[in-house]
Amino acid sequence: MVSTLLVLWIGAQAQLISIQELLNQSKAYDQQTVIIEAEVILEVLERDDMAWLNVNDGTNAIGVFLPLEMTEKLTTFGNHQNQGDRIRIEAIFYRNCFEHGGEMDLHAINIDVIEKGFRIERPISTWKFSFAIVGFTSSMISLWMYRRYRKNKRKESNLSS
Amino acid sequence: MSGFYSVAYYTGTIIFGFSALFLLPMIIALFYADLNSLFDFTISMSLSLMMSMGMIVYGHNRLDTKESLSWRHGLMVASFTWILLTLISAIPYRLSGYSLSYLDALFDVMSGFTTTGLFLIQDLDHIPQALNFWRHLLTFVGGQGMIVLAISFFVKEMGSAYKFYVGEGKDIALVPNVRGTAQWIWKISFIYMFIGTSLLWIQGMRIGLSPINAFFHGLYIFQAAWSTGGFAPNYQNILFYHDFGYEIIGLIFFIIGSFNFGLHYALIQGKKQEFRKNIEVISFFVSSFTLSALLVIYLSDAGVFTEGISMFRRVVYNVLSAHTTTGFGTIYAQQFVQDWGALGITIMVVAMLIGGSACSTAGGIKGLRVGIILKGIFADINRLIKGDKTMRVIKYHHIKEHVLDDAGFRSATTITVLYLITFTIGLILTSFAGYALTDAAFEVASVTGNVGLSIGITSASMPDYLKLTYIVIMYLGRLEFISVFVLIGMFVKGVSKWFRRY
Repeated sequence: MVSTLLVLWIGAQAQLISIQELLNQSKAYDQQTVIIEAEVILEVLERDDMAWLNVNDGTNAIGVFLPLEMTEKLTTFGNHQNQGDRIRIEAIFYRNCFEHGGEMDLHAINIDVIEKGFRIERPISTWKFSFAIVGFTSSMISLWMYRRYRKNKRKESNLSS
Repeated sequence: MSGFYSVAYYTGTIIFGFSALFLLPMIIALFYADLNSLFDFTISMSLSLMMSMGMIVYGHNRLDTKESLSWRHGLMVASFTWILLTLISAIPYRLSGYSLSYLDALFDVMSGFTTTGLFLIQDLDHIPQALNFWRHLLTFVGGQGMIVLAISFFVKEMGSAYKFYVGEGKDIALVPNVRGTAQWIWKISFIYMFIGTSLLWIQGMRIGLSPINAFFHGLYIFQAAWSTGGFAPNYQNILFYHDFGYEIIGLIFFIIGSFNFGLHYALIQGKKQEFRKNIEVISFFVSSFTLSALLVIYLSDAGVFTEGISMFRRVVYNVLSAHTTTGFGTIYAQQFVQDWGALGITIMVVAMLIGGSACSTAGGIKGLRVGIILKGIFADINRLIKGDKTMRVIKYHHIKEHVLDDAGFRSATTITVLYLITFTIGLILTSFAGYALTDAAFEVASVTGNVGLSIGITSASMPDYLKLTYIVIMYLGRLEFISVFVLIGMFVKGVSKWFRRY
């Protein structure tokens, strides 16, 4: 109850900003609680009972350090096949994190999935398919003709010598 | 005119060999059942094959003898091949839709080939695995050299191989014949690739990557490190991994990669003293230490970083990354602007312009030239101070003992001056686009030295003329001017001849 209230209070104090803005105004936001909304990328990097998440909001990307259990609600991570979960992160921003060798990072207080990730449908491009078939066939015919040309040239040079 | 056909023939032969590389991302695309990428690379390979065979047949039919190739035409083959391969290799970028224009695709490919590492590609975190593989493969091949690749596998077709090899900015002979030298360069690179990828793979799994991701990331980061390229598979570059160990493995391989292949070969031959005596190694360690120490003192005084590990990971790491012309960044572009100040940026500019070793995968003016110039200047000052009328022989050690003569000093000075002129032109053009002078200096030094660190100027939204300028500068910097000047000279001569005729 107390922790929920605390999170709600922090959330009320913090403001939603983009990662780019955070980086541009890093001195002003240093050690402040901020809220960002971004897509989770690739996978969770587990470190014992803690973890790293990399998130990208389209303006820039940043690492989020958080307890491993917080990541359990994540199901889809961004890569070529998938649009990752979009999450809302309440976190403390460190422009020179002592714990992580001076890295500019976020230490999460709370994360919420605000948009479930999904598989990106990528229909097969028919024009690419057609060009690839035509191109491949043409290049193989050219290769066959080229080999014949080389063979004939070699024969000619053998005869002349 | 025979020379022109020779250029067509040899360039076609190199591109023909290079076409085989398209098979690798095609396999990756098949593995991921990514048919669109498979088609992108199939189309690109088909065009590459047809164009190269056309050039070979066209050149071969009119060629008098393969041995008639002059130095001028040999150098042209190198510079012309680089242009054509850039045009071809950019096709899958553009077809994928992740490059907003063909110019952006050309920028990324030239950046890869020249091992620069800047990029304009969009939505990097979502690009297909096959395209990511292609990006890193290009930087790996570019680091060793496309000509070196062709000479290794197509030597029977390469009567004048040494001239192309020199045209690509390499001149060291590891063994008496150029094919043997090229093959040694690849052997050394593959040995390190096996070790580097394995180490990064294991470390990748330790830091939480799944085995398959750890493997691909290990391979990519190795290729980018060894080639001093600086690409990474995700947007955050080396910051993506949040791990000191991963950064250190990358650091070891980009430092090793920035050393001369001659030095690697000497060490393989058991000549351990070469490491201690080589002018480039001495030059690298002296300049790295001096620049790092200056920056650490300055940023420590400014209160930006206050403890040892932060200093090493955020300051020394970036100096070494800049100096070896790698471009792995452990801080954000904004931090250079906000925290490093004019002195910090100047130190980084100096590190990026000096660059790595000659005949390595690194760019920049090169430690050898800086060493020669400094040695020559100190010798002259010494002579003036002492009023010495006798001629002293100045020596330096680089694989073997060399006497520093006027020709060697002039050659080193000429290339250095050309780098500085190129840097100045780039600086003027970047400032003209409205960027602050210090920011422009940082970005242009990164482009000229084929480094890849960015202060934020390089983006898809920058003016097209600036993209084109950077493409030319990267190209000039990597091929070290001469072969490009020969190509331009021959082109101008051809055009003026054509105008006179009509």
